[in-house]
Amino acid sequence: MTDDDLGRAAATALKARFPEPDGVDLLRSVRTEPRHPRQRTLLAAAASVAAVVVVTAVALALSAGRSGHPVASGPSRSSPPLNGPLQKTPACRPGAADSTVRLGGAHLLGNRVPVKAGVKSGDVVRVIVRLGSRRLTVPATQSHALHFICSTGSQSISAYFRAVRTGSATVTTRTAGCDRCMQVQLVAHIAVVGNNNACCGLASSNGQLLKIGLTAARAHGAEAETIDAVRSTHAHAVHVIMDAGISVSRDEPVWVLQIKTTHEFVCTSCSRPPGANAPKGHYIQLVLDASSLQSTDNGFTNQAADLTKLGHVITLFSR
Amino acid sequence: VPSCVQYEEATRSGPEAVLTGVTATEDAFAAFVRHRQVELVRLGWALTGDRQLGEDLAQTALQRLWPRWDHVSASGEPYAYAQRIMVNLWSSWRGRRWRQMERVVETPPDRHAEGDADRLDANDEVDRWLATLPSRQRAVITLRFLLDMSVDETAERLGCSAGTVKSQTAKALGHLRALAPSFAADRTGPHPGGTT
Repeated sequence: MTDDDLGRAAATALKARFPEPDGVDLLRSVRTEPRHPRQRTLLAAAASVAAVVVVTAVALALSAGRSGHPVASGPSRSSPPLNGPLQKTPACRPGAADSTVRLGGAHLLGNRVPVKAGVKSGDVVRVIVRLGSRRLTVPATQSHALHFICSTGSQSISAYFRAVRTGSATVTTRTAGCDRCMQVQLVAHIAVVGNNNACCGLASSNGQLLKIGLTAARAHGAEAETIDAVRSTHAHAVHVIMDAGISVSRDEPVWVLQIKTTHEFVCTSCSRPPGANAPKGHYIQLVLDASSLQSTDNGFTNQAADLTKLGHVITLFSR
Repeated sequence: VPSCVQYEEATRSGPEAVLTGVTATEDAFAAFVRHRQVELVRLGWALTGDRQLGEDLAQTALQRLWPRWDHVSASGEPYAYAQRIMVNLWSSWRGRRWRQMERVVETPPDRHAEGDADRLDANDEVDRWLATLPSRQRAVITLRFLLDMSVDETAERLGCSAGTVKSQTAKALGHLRALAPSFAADRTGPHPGGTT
């Protein structure tokens, strides 16, 4: 077969493999009646966000009988019951939440799967909606939202709910957009952000951090040689340990774990672009939400990051 | 009980630009996006092999295009410019040390949900082939055989010589020939644009 024949065959196969995609709407607009041209963008964005919050409020619900402290969990396919123990509360104030549900930004297309988290009676759950807060600076997730068109700035709306019985809270997400901006589909994320009964201090965290570090190393078929930890903010941590130029505009407290393994490991289970080699290295870096100790970012490298830039480094483990 | 059953906190600290009205430039850009978004997403899909990643690639390219829109639109070739951004951007994404951050998807990747077994096999062959190609060869193949660009057009988009395009095409087809000797046995179709 000649190259021309093979080229024709390749063209046919490629066109069959990659047909014109449907449902593409990179420029979705959510229109509201403009009171003034200068207000239109802001109004549209605010309306979208408010709609998400309302929908989320309806969706917050509990399934039966789970007890214990709220623990963040991954996406779930279960549909939210209509009647749940979460009710809107007038008693909440910023900073009083035991759990938070963050909506927004992890991936352009977002996650439409309801997210569940265990809550216990009396917990206050905070739902935060932010648009554009990442300011197009998360190339590691390929998550961008054309900020300069959308211009939602750091708008945020929080809604607080109280759990009236112990169980599993479910939050759903909806697509939102704003006038002239690219579509932004919100992503739900549930995490514990503070609990008067929970100690987020060093002493109570050490054991859990060590366990997480050891588990992470073993999960990749390696043994930890050293595990260092440092407490910082999310934005600072990403700036220091991630590739140059990557930043996030989040200032939540995080723990950064750097695990040196005894030998180079290959993360064959890691998702990666087609054709790309599996991540490998001698160091695993984990960024953990300081309250929930849930991993928000992770990376693999052969070169250790200088954690001293983030603060006082604690060596949790040394072989 | 207060009527405030739902505490809402709105923080609006965005730049004054938030309140600026629609301009003709923005309308033109929006029109361009509407006109070309399907093709750009298709290109992104083919380059990345992932529909969602392809949309992100297109989105990011538009993000890069927007600040230069006045200049690019004046040149009369914003589509070509966007394509060039996408190809270069994808190369940089592939070259970057891979980082996994929050990446949640609704369902596990299922690229073959449609079509019959033959189609699945064909798609698998294409996927395997593309997966073996370096990013540059994949870009050449995508532009030439998916978008039917000529050698010269492809060279212009990629910023290389026509000879490079030809050699990259030959290498990629060589990969295909080695990977699936019977690949073209039951496939026919129009000749892609240009000549080799």
